[in-house]
Amino acid sequence: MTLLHRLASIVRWIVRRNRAERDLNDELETFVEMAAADRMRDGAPPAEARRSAVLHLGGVEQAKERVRSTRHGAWLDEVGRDLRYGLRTLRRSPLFTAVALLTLALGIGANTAIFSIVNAAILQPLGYPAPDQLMRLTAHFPVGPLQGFRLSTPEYLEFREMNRSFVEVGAFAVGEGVAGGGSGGWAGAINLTAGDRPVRARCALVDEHLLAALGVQPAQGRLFAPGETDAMSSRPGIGGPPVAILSHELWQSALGGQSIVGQSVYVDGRPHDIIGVMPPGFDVMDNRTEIWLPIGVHPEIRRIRQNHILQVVGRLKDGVTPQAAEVELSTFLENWGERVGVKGHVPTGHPSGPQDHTLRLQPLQDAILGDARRAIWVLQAAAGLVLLIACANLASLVLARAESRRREFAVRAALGASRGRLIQQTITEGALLSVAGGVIGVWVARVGLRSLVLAYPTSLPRTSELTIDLSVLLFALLVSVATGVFFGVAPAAQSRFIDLVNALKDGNREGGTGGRHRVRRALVTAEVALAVMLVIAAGLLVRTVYNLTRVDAGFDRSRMVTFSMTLPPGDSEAGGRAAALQRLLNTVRQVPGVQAATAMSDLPFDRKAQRYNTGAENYTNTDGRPVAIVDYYQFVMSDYFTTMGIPIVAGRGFEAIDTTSEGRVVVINETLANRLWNGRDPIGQRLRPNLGASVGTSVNPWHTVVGVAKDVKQAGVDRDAGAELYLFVDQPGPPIDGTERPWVVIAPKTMNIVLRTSLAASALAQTLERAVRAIAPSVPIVGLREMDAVFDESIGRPRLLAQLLAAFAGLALLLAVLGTYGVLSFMVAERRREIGIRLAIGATRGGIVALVMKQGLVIASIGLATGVAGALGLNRLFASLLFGVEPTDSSTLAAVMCTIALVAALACGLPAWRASRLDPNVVLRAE
Amino acid sequence: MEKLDIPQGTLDLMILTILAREPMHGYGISQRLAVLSHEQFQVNPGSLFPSLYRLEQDGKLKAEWRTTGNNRRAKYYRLTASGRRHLDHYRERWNRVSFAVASVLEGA
Repeated sequence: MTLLHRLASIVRWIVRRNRAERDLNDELETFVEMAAADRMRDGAPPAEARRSAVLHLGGVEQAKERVRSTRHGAWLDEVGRDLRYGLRTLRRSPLFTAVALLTLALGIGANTAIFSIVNAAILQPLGYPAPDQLMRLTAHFPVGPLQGFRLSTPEYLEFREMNRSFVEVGAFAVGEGVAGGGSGGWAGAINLTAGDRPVRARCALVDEHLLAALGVQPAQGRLFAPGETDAMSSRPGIGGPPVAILSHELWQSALGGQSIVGQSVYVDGRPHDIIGVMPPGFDVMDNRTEIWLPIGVHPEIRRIRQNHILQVVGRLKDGVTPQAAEVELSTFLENWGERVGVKGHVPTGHPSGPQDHTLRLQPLQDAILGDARRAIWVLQAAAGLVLLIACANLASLVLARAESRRREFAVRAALGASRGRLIQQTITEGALLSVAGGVIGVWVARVGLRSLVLAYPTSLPRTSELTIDLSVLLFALLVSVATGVFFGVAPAAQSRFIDLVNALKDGNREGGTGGRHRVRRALVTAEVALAVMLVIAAGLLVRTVYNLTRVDAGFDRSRMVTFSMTLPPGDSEAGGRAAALQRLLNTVRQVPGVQAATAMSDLPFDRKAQRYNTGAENYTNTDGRPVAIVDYYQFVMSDYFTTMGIPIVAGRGFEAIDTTSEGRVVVINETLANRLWNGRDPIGQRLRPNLGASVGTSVNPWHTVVGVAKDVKQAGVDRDAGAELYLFVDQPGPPIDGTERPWVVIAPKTMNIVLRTSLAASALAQTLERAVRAIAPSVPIVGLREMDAVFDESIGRPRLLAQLLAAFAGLALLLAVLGTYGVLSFMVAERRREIGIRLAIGATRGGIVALVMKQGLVIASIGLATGVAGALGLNRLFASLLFGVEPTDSSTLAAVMCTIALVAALACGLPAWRASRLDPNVVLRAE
Repeated sequence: MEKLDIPQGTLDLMILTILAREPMHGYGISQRLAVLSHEQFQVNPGSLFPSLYRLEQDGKLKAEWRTTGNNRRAKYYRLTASGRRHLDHYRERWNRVSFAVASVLEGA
């Protein structure tokens, strides 16, 4: 028989089903009539003849059912009927349906949302051609927390020359810490003016090799031409010719998507030609780059090995494995200095001193994911546990329903439904529920993801690629169907539910309670155990966040408002900027409600180490030179230490007198004081900050230490403070030697204004915008917010983890409580008669409470013990995500156990109390 | 006397054989089966009709409503060409099977 024939038969059956049903009915009726007629001919009375004929037929309905099930496409029909029947059943029990749908929607929604994060960040390959050929090359210093640091320009160029593994190796620079900006520190963002409104745009400085390595083709216009990114702007430092490529997104948002290539825009006040537009979504290292500029490293900087300013990405040649490239790199590291003919500060395979560093290769995707991978998997695991609990809960609920539906199933079995058909029916009901739950779940996931990205825009990698795509939908569907089958089969697994005779005979009376309840009890125990594990994990992460907020960051971050602004290079360059900033501060200090105001080049908590080589008197490092590594330079303005609330532990802070005094002064932090002059008095010592590298001055004068400030946690409260040097922007200082040298003025382009005020940032917005407009009409205010918000953002990932896990744990706990409550209530309902008898023959109410409570508490305590054991086993997997708390922290465990015990007692208490209030008279009479 | 169970798979063969002589309705088939088997087989409509429907679906039989001798409307089944081929093939196989079984039983 051909497939076509079969299909035609199915279609015929569907199309002509009504006629076929009528046919079948008529045919069987004819059969009965003929049989009855024969019997009448043999002398049977008409009624008796018909009855015997029907008996002979063996049940008209059974015969019809058997005929139907032989037909092609019969299963379609059965599914249809099961669906209709299932819908009717679900409509008849709205409470059950609502609870089940809600549970499923939350369970599936949580999983779908987290899976879309897994999908976007981990599973989806990066959006470049052949992304697994892309590797990142980073520097690693053995001393200090500098893992995955940038490369110096010489070693980048040398590696590009030496290697045989890569088709192309390119470099770029983003974010703060890029030294030697054209005329001042450069903060990874520029002011873009096209038309009347300035916008701030995140930018990446790249060379042409990087774009070639990434394999991007411009959506419009062209990329940088060969040599274009090597060309210099007229000023020292980095920054190439005035051309720019826009991201698709910036082109759309700031320029309305109108034709732009060939036109000119202002980048930090200088006209730049737009040569191209990138394709949508194109980025490097998850930087959310909006504008691409040529890097143009100055020849002088190309020689300085100490300036680690470049991020390096390469594309492997076809057929070269990452391992082969690593082997090649390690041979370079054996004798890098000899190969290139230099000594000092070259990469080495065996770094020992603080100046030494080695190089490592890593697949680009791993580099982007970093340690977020573990956090994401922890979330997925947690969401999975929630779904398991939801499944267990639903299975238990469905079991309870199956008990009360035994009669219904028995009647259907009597009317010709086979056992298989009944199981099919319960699975259909399960699938109906779970697919409906899945649809709501996907919606929940969408809403959840959107608010997650809004609340934590930078806490997870690759959030810009976060969508509910086909694979996420497939995942949701798979999870839904699996869930449906899981709790649809559960009642069928209990074979008694279609035990025909007993079900019809004894209705709903108890009997064999033990066996039937064992499954449900096991399910609920498992629920409790899983919930305990989740609650413990959430407890540890909440403790982590609490610990992070309690760390002394080194300054008083409450009641502070901050914003940042990038001043265009004015006519008088740095000098003009410093003066403009001073005018701005003076205006702001007059604002009612503002107690103090200052400015600083870099906000704490999320700084990347800069590691400037800094000359120092009375100090020699391990290689014998009087040069110290300083992790951070901070350029500050008047009233800095008082406004920030940073205590001065020795000497003094910057004062008005320094703005006119002859000698240049610096303040250092405790870590730097100890590192340089451990034990000796740092006041009066001299340092020679690397101003050339940090702000692009042409001279590096000596500075005298006038004070030591308490450490501020620059890189985050969970990191070491690092060594920090404070430089005073308000101190122009006299000419260094003779009049032909310029004054040393050191105002970075981008500064953060900081106000001490009890007002909210939003309340100050208009006033501040007006003040900024007065000194620089085209400069936008960026990132206006409270310092607490800056801090919250810096601990975004632990907060995100803690919040999500707490939500999951709460949900899990709620489900487990409902499960415990449900199984006990059901047990009490079934044992009404027994309890009534007990009460009638003299059991006390307290005794009954104890009887029921015992049942529940056995479940809870087994679950609790299993859960704690499981948590102790698994928690070390996320030990690296914790701060200031051990994965086995006993106080957290104790708190969780108390909470669970209390909640379990409540869940058991209500049914127990109700059992004890039973009136034996009523109960026994009802039987 | 107790009726025999119809051996697995032979009902179709018997239905086809009966219908090879003349088209017939369901009740007629069941009666003819009883007579031909000397009242040894009695087919239950719960088995007969599924078989008829399956054979019809597979194109071995064709059904049409006709009026009987007693002026009753009934659904008559008749063999199609494909049904006849199937029957020949089927009967040939059955003969071989029963011969083989008989040989084994006699030889044992």
